[in-house]
Amino acid sequence: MDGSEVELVQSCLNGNYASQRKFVELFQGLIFSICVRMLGHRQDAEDVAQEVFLRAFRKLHQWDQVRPLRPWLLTIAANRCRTHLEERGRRPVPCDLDADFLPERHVSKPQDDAEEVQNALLTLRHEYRQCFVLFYQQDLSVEEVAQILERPEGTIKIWLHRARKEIAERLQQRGFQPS
Amino acid sequence: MTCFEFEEHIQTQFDLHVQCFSEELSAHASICGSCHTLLKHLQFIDAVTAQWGEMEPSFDFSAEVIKAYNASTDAETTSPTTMPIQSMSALNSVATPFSVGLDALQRRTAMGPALAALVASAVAVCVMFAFGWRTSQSAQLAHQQSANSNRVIANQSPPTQLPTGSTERQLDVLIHDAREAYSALASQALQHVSTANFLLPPTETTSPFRSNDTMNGFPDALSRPLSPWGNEFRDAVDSLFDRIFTSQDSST
Repeated sequence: MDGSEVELVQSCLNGNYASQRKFVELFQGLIFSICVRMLGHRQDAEDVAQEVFLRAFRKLHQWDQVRPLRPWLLTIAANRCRTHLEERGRRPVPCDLDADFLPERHVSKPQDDAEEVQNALLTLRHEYRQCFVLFYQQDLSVEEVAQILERPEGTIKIWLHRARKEIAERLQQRGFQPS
Repeated sequence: MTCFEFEEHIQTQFDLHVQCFSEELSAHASICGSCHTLLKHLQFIDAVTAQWGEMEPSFDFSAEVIKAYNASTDAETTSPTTMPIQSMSALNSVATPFSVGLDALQRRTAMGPALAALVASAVAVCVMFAFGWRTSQSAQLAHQQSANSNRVIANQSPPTQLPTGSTERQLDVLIHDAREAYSALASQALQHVSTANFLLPPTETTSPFRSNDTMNGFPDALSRPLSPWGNEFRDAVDSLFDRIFTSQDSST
């Protein structure tokens, strides 16, 4: 366990403004990237990332100092993203009539390969997406993803395989041919 | 190797972040078009995601987060129901010389909502009681007015002195009903007599639809021996009834 993290957390719990700011700056890239990949919307990602840090500050006294801090924060972020996606799913979605009736050639196409994969990622189920983003964005192992999502490794493997295959099928359906 | 086994193997390789494939896998991919396409797509996904980097918010994110956190903690601190334990202890230490302990303070804090609910319930009961009393008063007044109107109906002429007992009132009602019955009976009898045309002269009972046929079974040409005394008889009956009714009215 990194001693600097413990000191930082203790300083945050004592109400030190500089330590709190340092804490946020240290992990904001990690949390914000996960949120953007999960939600596919930058403003929503900023809101959810802020919620993640607020929750982390409130629950910081419950953090087990024996365990590393990063997976603990990733667990909070994954849960908040899932909650946000569920709430978004309950909200009515405005119908884009132009996209439905315009000819195929007028529909905007992804600018690059990364956007193509990101669009395919957003069509996955929440669990598959969560698993895929944690595995590739943070370069985690299946075991680490299982610990963060608090699921068995076998479940994570199945979700990951399905996520890969569905993205590949989606790319194939769109006629995308990798070079 | 089957296509299913091929997919299982390459998925496992990607799970381990390994890009080296065995000759067996490569051989299957070279002869199976669908597996070759799948392998290409999975390699493409792996290559794209490998370039995923960290993204940063577009504004001073840390300052915003700390500002929101301080605002939320301030709101919790000012709220009396979520007062921290340290603040409660400080209040207790100050209040101890005045025999006000922490338990009493907590009890008083907890009794606030209960007291408000009790007061609200008492006010609601008072309002309901007042409304019920007002309604009962209105009903009593209406009942009294109804009784007075019954008395007025029972006494056709304005009475000089209203009967005070219920027995007298019932008697008045009975006399009134009897007089009505007498009047109805008398008029009915007179009508029968007129119709039969035994006593009255033919000119008083003739129908507007004069004809030569018989009227009520009695022809007009029938002789009427008592017709000269018919009017006198009717006047005598009327005066008798008037005398009876007048005497009854005066007695009441």
